[in-house]
Amino acid sequence: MSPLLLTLAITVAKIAVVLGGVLGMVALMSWVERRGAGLIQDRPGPNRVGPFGLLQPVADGLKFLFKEEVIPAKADKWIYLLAPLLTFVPAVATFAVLPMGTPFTVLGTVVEPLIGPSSIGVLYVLALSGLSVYGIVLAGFASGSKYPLIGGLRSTAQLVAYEIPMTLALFSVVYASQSLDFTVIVDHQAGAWFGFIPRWYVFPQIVGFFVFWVTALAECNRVPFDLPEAEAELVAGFHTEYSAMKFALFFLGEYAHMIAASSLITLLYFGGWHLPFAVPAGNLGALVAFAAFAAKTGFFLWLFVWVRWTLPRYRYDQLMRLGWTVLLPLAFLNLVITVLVCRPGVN
Amino acid sequence: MTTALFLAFAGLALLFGLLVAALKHPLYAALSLVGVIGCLSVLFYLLGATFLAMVQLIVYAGATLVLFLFVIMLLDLRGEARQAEAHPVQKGMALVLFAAFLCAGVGTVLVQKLPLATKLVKPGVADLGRLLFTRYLLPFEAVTLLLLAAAVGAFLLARKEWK
Repeated sequence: MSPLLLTLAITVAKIAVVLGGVLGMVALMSWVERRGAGLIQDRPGPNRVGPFGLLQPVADGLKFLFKEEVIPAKADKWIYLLAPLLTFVPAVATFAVLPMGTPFTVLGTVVEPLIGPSSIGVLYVLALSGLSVYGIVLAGFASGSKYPLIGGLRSTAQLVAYEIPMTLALFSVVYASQSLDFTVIVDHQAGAWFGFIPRWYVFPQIVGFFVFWVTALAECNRVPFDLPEAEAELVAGFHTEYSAMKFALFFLGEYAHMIAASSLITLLYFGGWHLPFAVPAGNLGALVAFAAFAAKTGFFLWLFVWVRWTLPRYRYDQLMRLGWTVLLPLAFLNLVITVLVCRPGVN
Repeated sequence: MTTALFLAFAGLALLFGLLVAALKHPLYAALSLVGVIGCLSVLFYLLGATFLAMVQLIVYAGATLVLFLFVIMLLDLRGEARQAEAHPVQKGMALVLFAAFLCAGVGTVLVQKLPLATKLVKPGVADLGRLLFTRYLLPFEAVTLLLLAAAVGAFLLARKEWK
Protein backbone atom coordinates (compact mmCIF):
# COMPACT_ATOMS: atom_id res chain seq x y z
CA MET A 1 0.00 0.00 0.00
CA SER A 2 1.32 3.43 -0.87
CA PRO A 3 2.09 5.79 2.02
CA LEU A 4 -0.68 8.23 1.05
CA LEU A 5 -3.30 5.49 0.95
CA LEU A 6 -2.06 4.10 4.25
CA THR A 7 -2.30 7.51 5.95
CA LEU A 8 -5.76 7.97 4.48
CA ALA A 9 -6.91 4.54 5.66
CA ILE A 10 -5.53 5.15 9.18
CA THR A 11 -7.20 8.58 9.35
CA VAL A 12 -10.56 7.23 8.22
CA ALA A 13 -10.28 4.41 10.76
CA LYS A 14 -9.45 6.94 13.51
CA ILE A 15 -12.41 9.13 12.58
CA ALA A 16 -14.71 6.08 12.66
CA VAL A 17 -13.40 4.98 16.07
CA VAL A 18 -13.56 8.46 17.63
CA LEU A 19 -17.00 9.24 16.19
CA GLY A 20 -18.32 5.87 17.33
CA GLY A 21 -16.75 6.34 20.74
CA VAL A 22 -18.19 9.82 21.18
CA LEU A 23 -21.69 8.79 20.09
CA GLY A 24 -21.50 5.74 22.34
CA MET A 25 -20.47 7.96 25.24
CA VAL A 26 -23.37 10.32 24.48
CA ALA A 27 -25.77 7.38 24.69
CA LEU A 28 -24.17 6.24 27.93
CA MET A 29 -24.24 9.78 29.36
CA SER A 30 -27.95 10.15 28.65
CA TRP A 31 -28.39 7.10 30.88
CA VAL A 32 -25.90 8.30 33.51
CA GLU A 33 -27.62 11.67 33.60
CA ARG A 34 -31.02 10.22 34.45
CA ARG A 35 -29.76 7.50 36.77
CA GLY A 36 -27.57 10.12 38.46
CA ALA A 37 -30.62 12.35 38.86
CA GLY A 38 -32.41 9.40 40.42
CA LEU A 39 -29.51 8.73 42.77
CA ILE A 40 -29.22 12.36 43.88
CA GLN A 41 -32.97 12.91 44.21
CA ASP A 42 -33.60 9.57 45.92
CA ARG A 43 -35.72 7.94 43.21
CA PRO A 44 -35.06 5.01 40.83
CA GLY A 45 -34.61 6.74 37.44
CA PRO A 46 -35.11 4.77 34.19
CA ASN A 47 -34.81 1.08 35.15
CA ARG A 48 -37.29 -0.76 32.89
CA VAL A 49 -35.45 -1.27 29.56
CA GLY A 50 -32.70 -3.86 29.90
CA PRO A 51 -30.52 -4.47 32.99
CA PHE A 52 -30.39 -1.29 35.17
CA GLY A 53 -32.24 0.48 32.34
CA LEU A 54 -29.04 0.40 30.27
CA LEU A 55 -30.94 -0.08 27.00
CA GLN A 56 -32.97 3.08 27.60
CA PRO A 57 -30.80 5.14 25.16
CA VAL A 58 -31.55 2.57 22.42
CA ALA A 59 -35.27 2.91 23.07
CA ASP A 60 -34.95 6.70 23.00
CA GLY A 61 -33.02 6.57 19.74
CA LEU A 62 -35.70 4.40 18.11
CA LYS A 63 -38.39 6.77 19.35
CA PHE A 64 -36.58 9.75 17.79
CA LEU A 65 -36.24 7.90 14.48
CA PHE A 66 -39.91 6.97 14.20
CA LYS A 67 -41.40 10.27 15.37
CA GLU A 68 -43.07 12.50 12.81
CA GLU A 69 -40.82 15.23 11.39
CA VAL A 70 -42.62 18.51 11.99
CA ILE A 71 -41.65 21.82 10.41
CA PRO A 72 -43.66 24.70 11.92
CA ALA A 73 -45.66 26.78 9.42
CA LYS A 74 -43.96 30.02 10.48
CA ALA A 75 -40.46 28.56 10.42
CA ASP A 76 -37.76 29.67 7.99
CA LYS A 77 -37.43 26.21 6.46
CA TRP A 78 -33.80 26.09 5.33
CA ILE A 79 -32.29 27.74 8.37
CA TYR A 80 -34.60 25.69 10.58
CA LEU A 81 -33.15 22.51 9.10
CA LEU A 82 -29.57 23.83 9.09
CA ALA A 83 -29.48 24.83 12.77
CA PRO A 84 -29.34 21.33 14.38
CA LEU A 85 -26.46 20.43 12.04
CA LEU A 86 -24.57 23.60 12.98
CA THR A 87 -24.86 22.58 16.63
CA PHE A 88 -23.87 18.97 16.14
CA VAL A 89 -20.98 19.29 13.67
CA PRO A 90 -18.69 21.75 15.57
CA ALA A 91 -19.21 19.81 18.81
CA VAL A 92 -18.07 16.55 17.23
CA ALA A 93 -15.37 18.14 15.06
CA THR A 94 -13.59 19.35 18.22
CA PHE A 95 -12.36 15.81 18.83
CA ALA A 96 -10.15 16.01 15.72
CA VAL A 97 -7.39 17.79 17.65
CA LEU A 98 -7.74 16.20 21.11
CA PRO A 99 -4.94 13.66 21.71
CA MET A 100 -6.28 10.80 23.82
CA GLY A 101 -3.12 9.02 24.89
CA THR A 102 0.35 7.99 23.79
CA PRO A 103 1.23 6.50 20.37
CA PHE A 104 0.73 2.76 19.98
CA THR A 105 1.82 0.20 17.38
CA VAL A 106 -0.51 -1.78 15.12
CA LEU A 107 1.05 -4.27 12.66
CA GLY A 108 4.36 -2.42 12.77
CA THR A 109 2.80 1.00 12.13
CA VAL A 110 3.01 3.64 14.86
CA VAL A 111 -0.40 5.25 15.31
CA GLU A 112 -0.88 8.62 17.02
CA PRO A 113 -4.10 8.73 19.07
CA LEU A 114 -5.02 12.00 17.35
CA ILE A 115 -6.84 12.66 14.06
CA GLY A 116 -5.80 16.12 12.90
CA PRO A 117 -2.66 18.24 13.00
CA SER A 118 -1.62 18.98 16.58
CA SER A 119 0.37 22.21 16.18
CA ILE A 120 -2.65 24.55 16.39
CA GLY A 121 -4.90 22.41 18.58
CA VAL A 122 -5.80 25.15 21.09
CA LEU A 123 -6.70 27.68 18.38
CA TYR A 124 -8.79 25.12 16.56
CA VAL A 125 -10.78 24.41 19.71
CA LEU A 126 -11.36 28.15 20.22
CA ALA A 127 -12.49 28.55 16.61
CA LEU A 128 -15.00 25.71 16.88
CA SER A 129 -16.29 26.93 20.21
CA GLY A 130 -16.93 30.28 18.53
CA LEU A 131 -18.83 28.56 15.72
CA SER A 132 -21.06 26.61 18.10
CA VAL A 133 -23.08 29.80 18.75
CA TYR A 134 -24.62 29.64 15.27
CA GLY A 135 -26.72 26.53 15.80
CA ILE A 136 -28.51 27.98 18.83
CA VAL A 137 -28.95 31.49 17.46
CA LEU A 138 -30.28 30.28 14.12
CA ALA A 139 -32.56 27.71 15.75
CA GLY A 140 -34.02 30.50 17.86
CA PHE A 141 -34.52 32.78 14.89
CA ALA A 142 -35.75 30.23 12.34
CA SER A 143 -38.44 28.68 14.54
CA GLY A 144 -40.65 31.72 14.01
CA SER A 145 -41.89 31.75 17.59
CA LYS A 146 -41.32 33.92 20.66
CA TYR A 147 -39.72 31.63 23.21
CA PRO A 148 -37.04 30.21 20.91
CA LEU A 149 -36.16 33.73 19.78
CA ILE A 150 -35.62 34.90 23.37
CA GLY A 151 -33.64 31.74 24.11
CA GLY A 152 -31.49 32.30 21.02
CA LEU A 153 -30.78 35.93 21.90
CA ARG A 154 -29.94 35.06 25.49
CA SER A 155 -27.57 32.36 24.40
CA THR A 156 -25.69 34.66 22.02
CA ALA A 157 -25.02 37.12 24.80
CA GLN A 158 -24.13 34.32 27.21
CA LEU A 159 -21.78 32.45 24.90
CA VAL A 160 -20.01 35.61 23.72
CA ALA A 161 -19.61 36.85 27.32
CA TYR A 162 -18.24 33.56 28.66
CA GLU A 163 -15.96 32.87 25.71
CA ILE A 164 -13.66 35.72 26.71
CA PRO A 165 -12.77 34.51 30.25
CA MET A 166 -12.48 30.96 28.88
CA THR A 167 -9.99 32.09 26.24
CA LEU A 168 -7.97 34.04 28.81
CA ALA A 169 -7.87 31.06 31.19
CA LEU A 170 -6.72 28.90 28.30
CA PHE A 171 -3.98 31.39 27.40
CA SER A 172 -2.50 31.16 30.90
CA VAL A 173 -1.91 27.47 30.29
CA VAL A 174 -0.62 28.20 26.80
CA TYR A 175 1.83 30.72 28.24
CA ALA A 176 2.99 28.40 31.00
CA SER A 177 3.70 25.61 28.51
CA GLN A 178 4.71 27.93 25.63
CA SER A 179 2.71 25.87 23.17
CA LEU A 180 -0.60 25.67 21.32
CA ASP A 181 -0.12 21.93 20.95
CA PHE A 182 -2.12 19.74 23.34
CA THR A 183 0.50 16.99 23.30
CA VAL A 184 3.21 19.44 24.41
CA ILE A 185 0.90 20.95 27.05
CA VAL A 186 0.17 17.50 28.45
CA ASP A 187 3.83 16.43 28.41
CA HIS A 188 4.68 19.56 30.42
CA GLN A 189 2.61 18.07 33.21
CA ALA A 190 4.51 14.79 33.44
CA GLY A 191 6.29 13.83 36.66
CA ALA A 192 5.74 15.05 40.20
CA TRP A 193 6.80 17.76 42.65
CA PHE A 194 8.53 16.41 45.76
CA GLY A 195 7.92 12.93 44.37
CA PHE A 196 4.21 12.78 45.16
CA ILE A 197 2.34 15.88 43.95
CA PRO A 198 1.65 15.46 40.22
CA ARG A 199 2.90 18.40 38.16
CA TRP A 200 -0.62 19.06 36.88
CA TYR A 201 -1.48 22.62 35.91
CA VAL A 202 -4.46 22.54 38.24
CA PHE A 203 -2.12 23.35 41.16
CA PRO A 204 -0.32 26.46 39.83
CA GLN A 205 -3.36 27.40 37.70
CA ILE A 206 -6.08 26.78 40.27
CA VAL A 207 -7.75 30.13 39.50
CA GLY A 208 -7.52 29.47 35.76
CA PHE A 209 -9.00 26.03 36.27
CA PHE A 210 -11.91 27.45 38.24
CA VAL A 211 -12.63 30.06 35.56
CA PHE A 212 -12.30 27.49 32.78
CA TRP A 213 -14.58 25.01 34.49
CA VAL A 214 -17.31 27.57 35.23
CA THR A 215 -17.19 28.95 31.69
CA ALA A 216 -17.26 25.39 30.32
CA LEU A 217 -20.55 24.86 32.17
CA ALA A 218 -21.87 28.02 30.53
CA GLU A 219 -20.57 27.16 27.06
CA CYS A 220 -22.29 23.78 27.24
CA ASN A 221 -25.56 25.46 28.33
CA ARG A 222 -25.58 23.36 31.48
CA VAL A 223 -27.14 24.14 34.83
CA PRO A 224 -26.61 26.60 36.53
CA PHE A 225 -26.20 28.45 33.22
CA ASP A 226 -28.87 26.77 31.07
CA LEU A 227 -30.73 30.04 30.46
CA PRO A 228 -31.09 29.51 26.69
CA GLU A 229 -33.55 26.74 27.54
CA ALA A 230 -34.80 27.76 30.99
CA GLU A 231 -37.99 25.71 31.03
CA ALA A 232 -39.75 27.74 33.70
CA GLU A 233 -39.66 30.87 31.53
CA LEU A 234 -39.06 29.74 27.95
CA VAL A 235 -40.80 26.32 27.61
CA ALA A 236 -37.63 24.76 26.19
CA GLY A 237 -35.84 27.80 24.79
CA PHE A 238 -34.18 27.62 21.41
CA HIS A 239 -35.30 24.04 20.69
CA THR A 240 -38.97 24.46 21.66
CA GLU A 241 -40.16 23.95 18.07
CA TYR A 242 -37.87 21.00 17.30
CA SER A 243 -38.90 17.38 17.50
CA ALA A 244 -37.78 13.89 16.43
CA MET A 245 -34.27 13.57 14.95
CA LYS A 246 -33.75 17.32 14.69
CA PHE A 247 -34.16 17.59 18.46
CA ALA A 248 -31.94 14.53 18.85
CA LEU A 249 -29.15 16.35 16.97
CA PHE A 250 -29.30 19.23 19.48
CA PHE A 251 -29.20 16.68 22.26
CA LEU A 252 -26.23 14.83 20.73
CA GLY A 253 -24.47 18.16 20.19
CA GLU A 254 -24.93 19.22 23.81
CA TYR A 255 -23.57 15.96 25.16
CA ALA A 256 -20.70 15.84 22.65
CA HIS A 257 -19.89 19.37 23.83
CA MET A 258 -19.80 18.15 27.43
CA ILE A 259 -17.49 15.27 26.56
CA ALA A 260 -15.21 17.64 24.65
CA ALA A 261 -15.17 20.09 27.58
CA SER A 262 -14.34 17.30 30.05
CA SER A 263 -11.53 16.07 27.79
CA LEU A 264 -10.19 19.62 27.54
CA ILE A 265 -10.17 20.06 31.32
CA THR A 266 -8.30 16.76 31.62
CA LEU A 267 -5.74 17.73 28.98
CA LEU A 268 -5.18 21.30 30.17
CA TYR A 269 -5.30 21.00 33.95
CA PHE A 270 -5.11 17.36 35.01
CA GLY A 271 -2.12 16.05 33.11
CA GLY A 272 -4.05 14.30 30.33
CA TRP A 273 -2.90 10.69 30.26
CA HIS A 274 -0.06 11.19 32.76
CA LEU A 275 -0.13 9.49 36.12
CA PRO A 276 2.06 10.51 39.07
CA PHE A 277 3.90 7.18 38.82
CA ALA A 278 5.72 5.41 35.97
CA VAL A 279 3.74 3.34 33.45
CA PRO A 280 5.01 0.36 31.37
CA ALA A 281 6.32 1.06 27.85
CA GLY A 282 4.85 -0.14 24.55
CA ASN A 283 1.24 -0.91 23.75
CA LEU A 284 0.42 -1.77 27.38
CA GLY A 285 1.62 1.69 28.41
CA ALA A 286 -0.56 3.25 25.70
CA LEU A 287 -3.53 1.33 27.07
CA VAL A 288 -2.82 2.54 30.61
CA ALA A 289 -2.41 6.09 29.30
CA PHE A 290 -5.77 5.94 27.51
CA ALA A 291 -7.41 4.45 30.60
CA ALA A 292 -6.03 7.31 32.73
CA PHE A 293 -7.30 9.88 30.23
CA ALA A 294 -10.72 8.20 30.04
CA ALA A 295 -11.03 7.91 33.82
CA LYS A 296 -10.21 11.59 34.37
CA THR A 297 -12.58 12.66 31.59
CA GLY A 298 -15.27 10.40 33.03
CA PHE A 299 -14.91 12.07 36.42
CA PHE A 300 -15.50 15.52 34.92
CA LEU A 301 -18.49 14.21 32.99
CA TRP A 302 -19.94 13.00 36.26
CA LEU A 303 -19.21 16.43 37.74
CA PHE A 304 -21.44 17.98 35.04
CA VAL A 305 -24.28 15.65 36.10
CA TRP A 306 -23.61 16.23 39.79
CA VAL A 307 -23.76 20.02 39.39
CA ARG A 308 -26.94 19.83 37.30
CA TRP A 309 -28.93 18.01 39.96
CA THR A 310 -27.50 20.01 42.85
CA LEU A 311 -27.52 23.71 41.95
CA PRO A 312 -30.44 26.00 41.04
CA ARG A 313 -30.34 28.17 37.93
CA TYR A 314 -28.85 31.67 37.86
CA ARG A 315 -31.05 34.61 36.98
CA TYR A 316 -30.08 36.25 33.68
CA ASP A 317 -28.70 39.46 35.23
CA GLN A 318 -26.74 37.41 37.78
CA LEU A 319 -25.28 35.38 34.94
CA MET A 320 -24.12 38.48 33.09
CA ARG A 321 -22.72 40.07 36.25
CA LEU A 322 -20.81 36.90 37.12
CA GLY A 323 -19.33 36.70 33.62
CA TRP A 324 -18.22 40.31 33.22
CA THR A 325 -17.41 41.40 36.79
CA VAL A 326 -16.05 38.24 38.39
CA LEU A 327 -14.77 35.74 35.85
CA LEU A 328 -13.27 38.21 33.37
CA PRO A 329 -11.15 40.14 35.94
CA LEU A 330 -10.14 36.85 37.60
CA ALA A 331 -9.01 35.40 34.29
CA PHE A 332 -7.11 38.61 33.45
CA LEU A 333 -5.39 38.68 36.82
CA ASN A 334 -4.49 35.04 36.48
CA LEU A 335 -2.96 35.65 33.06
CA VAL A 336 -0.93 38.64 34.30
CA ILE A 337 0.38 36.68 37.30
CA THR A 338 1.20 33.71 35.08
CA VAL A 339 3.20 35.92 32.74
CA LEU A 340 5.04 37.52 35.69
CA VAL A 341 5.81 34.27 37.51
CA CYS A 342 6.44 31.80 34.71
CA ARG A 343 9.73 31.94 32.92
CA PRO A 344 9.20 30.96 29.27
CA GLY A 345 9.75 27.27 28.72
CA VAL A 346 9.96 26.44 32.44
CA ASN A 347 7.09 24.73 34.17
CA MET B 1 -4.71 16.71 -3.83
CA THR B 2 -3.91 20.22 -2.57
CA THR B 3 -4.71 21.71 -5.98
CA ALA B 4 -8.06 19.93 -6.11
CA LEU B 5 -8.94 21.17 -2.61
CA PHE B 6 -7.82 24.68 -3.51
CA LEU B 7 -9.98 24.75 -6.63
CA ALA B 8 -12.98 23.34 -4.78
CA PHE B 9 -12.82 25.85 -1.92
CA ALA B 10 -11.87 28.81 -4.14
CA GLY B 11 -14.95 28.03 -6.24
CA LEU B 12 -17.12 27.70 -3.13
CA ALA B 13 -15.78 31.00 -1.79
CA LEU B 14 -16.71 32.75 -5.04
CA LEU B 15 -20.15 31.15 -5.01
CA PHE B 16 -20.83 32.25 -1.43
CA GLY B 17 -19.50 35.70 -2.29
CA LEU B 18 -22.00 35.98 -5.14
CA LEU B 19 -24.77 34.82 -2.81
CA VAL B 20 -23.90 37.55 -0.28
CA ALA B 21 -24.64 40.12 -2.96
CA ALA B 22 -27.56 38.31 -4.61
CA LEU B 23 -29.67 37.13 -1.66
CA LYS B 24 -32.34 39.60 -0.59
CA HIS B 25 -32.84 38.43 2.98
CA PRO B 26 -30.14 39.99 5.22
CA LEU B 27 -29.91 36.82 7.35
CA TYR B 28 -29.19 34.63 4.33
CA ALA B 29 -26.62 37.15 3.09
CA ALA B 30 -24.88 37.16 6.49
CA LEU B 31 -24.82 33.36 6.53
CA SER B 32 -23.31 33.32 3.04
CA LEU B 33 -20.62 35.63 4.37
CA VAL B 34 -19.89 33.03 7.04
CA GLY B 35 -19.50 30.56 4.18
CA VAL B 36 -17.01 32.86 2.43
CA ILE B 37 -15.00 33.17 5.63
CA GLY B 38 -14.99 29.42 6.17
CA CYS B 39 -13.70 28.84 2.63
CA LEU B 40 -11.02 31.54 3.01
CA SER B 41 -9.92 29.87 6.22
CA VAL B 42 -9.47 26.58 4.36
CA LEU B 43 -7.47 28.37 1.65
CA PHE B 44 -5.18 29.94 4.28
CA TYR B 45 -4.70 26.52 5.81
CA LEU B 46 -3.80 24.99 2.45
CA LEU B 47 -1.18 27.74 2.00
CA GLY B 48 0.41 26.75 5.31
CA ALA B 49 -0.79 29.85 7.20
CA THR B 50 -2.43 27.79 9.94
CA PHE B 51 -2.52 30.61 12.49
CA LEU B 52 -4.22 32.96 10.06
CA ALA B 53 -6.71 30.24 9.12
CA MET B 54 -7.77 29.77 12.75
CA VAL B 55 -7.82 33.49 13.57
CA GLN B 56 -10.01 34.04 10.52
CA LEU B 57 -12.57 31.67 12.02
CA ILE B 58 -12.24 32.94 15.61
CA VAL B 59 -12.47 36.65 14.82
CA TYR B 60 -14.77 36.86 11.81
CA ALA B 61 -16.98 33.77 11.99
CA GLY B 62 -16.95 33.42 15.77
CA ALA B 63 -17.29 37.05 16.82
CA THR B 64 -17.99 39.64 14.11
CA LEU B 65 -20.68 37.76 12.19
CA VAL B 66 -22.38 36.56 15.35
CA LEU B 67 -22.87 40.23 16.19
CA PHE B 68 -24.22 40.81 12.66
CA LEU B 69 -26.76 38.05 13.25
CA PHE B 70 -27.60 39.50 16.66
CA VAL B 71 -28.38 42.88 15.12
CA ILE B 72 -30.36 41.37 12.23
CA MET B 73 -32.46 39.37 14.68
CA LEU B 74 -33.09 42.36 16.94
CA LEU B 75 -34.08 44.72 14.13
CA ASP B 76 -36.40 42.27 12.36
CA LEU B 77 -35.52 43.21 8.80
CA ARG B 78 -38.18 41.08 7.11
CA GLY B 79 -40.03 44.15 5.89
CA GLU B 80 -36.74 45.62 4.73
CA ALA B 81 -35.98 42.54 2.66
CA ARG B 82 -39.10 42.92 0.54
CA GLN B 83 -38.56 46.52 -0.47
CA ALA B 84 -34.80 46.33 -0.92
CA GLU B 85 -34.50 47.45 -4.52
CA ALA B 86 -31.19 49.03 -5.46
CA HIS B 87 -31.17 52.39 -7.22
CA PRO B 88 -29.87 52.14 -10.84
CA VAL B 89 -26.99 54.49 -9.93
CA GLN B 90 -26.01 52.17 -7.08
CA LYS B 91 -26.03 49.21 -9.43
CA GLY B 92 -23.89 51.02 -11.99
CA MET B 93 -21.38 52.17 -9.37
CA ALA B 94 -21.19 48.66 -7.92
CA LEU B 95 -20.41 47.22 -11.35
CA VAL B 96 -17.73 49.84 -12.08
CA LEU B 97 -16.09 49.29 -8.67
CA PHE B 98 -16.23 45.52 -9.14
CA ALA B 99 -14.55 45.80 -12.55
CA ALA B 100 -11.90 48.16 -11.14
CA PHE B 101 -11.05 45.82 -8.25
CA LEU B 102 -10.95 42.83 -10.58
CA CYS B 103 -8.57 44.61 -12.97
CA ALA B 104 -6.39 45.82 -10.10
CA GLY B 105 -6.18 42.33 -8.57
CA VAL B 106 -5.52 40.41 -11.78
CA GLY B 107 -3.26 43.19 -13.12
CA THR B 108 -1.09 43.21 -10.01
CA VAL B 109 -0.55 39.47 -10.19
CA LEU B 110 0.22 39.56 -13.93
CA VAL B 111 2.44 42.66 -14.02
CA GLN B 112 4.37 42.26 -10.78
CA LYS B 113 4.89 38.52 -11.19
CA LEU B 114 4.34 38.00 -7.47
CA PRO B 115 5.84 34.80 -6.07
CA LEU B 116 3.31 32.09 -5.31
CA ALA B 117 2.25 32.24 -1.69
CA THR B 118 3.15 28.58 -1.20
CA LYS B 119 6.80 29.44 -1.80
CA LEU B 120 6.92 32.06 0.95
CA VAL B 121 8.14 31.22 4.42
CA LYS B 122 5.43 29.54 6.45
CA PRO B 123 4.87 31.85 9.42
CA GLY B 124 4.66 30.18 12.81
CA VAL B 125 2.79 31.74 15.70
CA ALA B 126 6.05 32.61 17.47
CA ASP B 127 7.52 34.34 14.39
CA LEU B 128 4.32 36.29 13.88
CA GLY B 129 4.29 37.39 17.53
CA ARG B 130 7.93 38.47 17.39
CA LEU B 131 7.32 40.57 14.27
CA LEU B 132 4.26 42.21 15.81
CA PHE B 133 6.20 43.21 18.92
CA THR B 134 9.36 44.41 17.18
CA ARG B 135 9.20 45.51 13.57
CA TYR B 136 5.48 46.25 13.39
CA LEU B 137 5.04 47.46 16.98
CA LEU B 138 3.98 51.00 16.07
CA PRO B 139 1.31 50.05 13.48
CA PHE B 140 0.11 47.33 15.84
CA GLU B 141 -0.34 49.79 18.72
CA ALA B 142 -1.95 52.33 16.39
CA VAL B 143 -4.54 49.73 15.39
CA THR B 144 -5.32 48.94 19.02
CA LEU B 145 -5.87 52.66 19.68
CA LEU B 146 -8.19 52.84 16.69
CA LEU B 147 -10.18 49.86 17.95
CA LEU B 148 -10.40 51.38 21.43
CA ALA B 149 -11.68 54.64 19.97
CA ALA B 150 -14.25 52.72 17.94
CA ALA B 151 -15.41 50.81 21.02
CA VAL B 152 -15.79 54.01 23.07
CA GLY B 153 -17.58 55.68 20.18
CA ALA B 154 -20.00 52.79 19.77
CA PHE B 155 -20.73 52.88 23.49
CA LEU B 156 -21.46 56.62 23.41
CA LEU B 157 -23.75 56.29 20.39
CA ALA B 158 -25.66 53.46 22.05
CA ARG B 159 -26.03 55.55 25.24
CA LYS B 160 -27.71 58.39 23.35
CA GLU B 161 -30.35 56.01 22.06
CA TRP B 162 -31.40 55.08 25.58
CA LYS B 163 -32.03 58.59 26.86
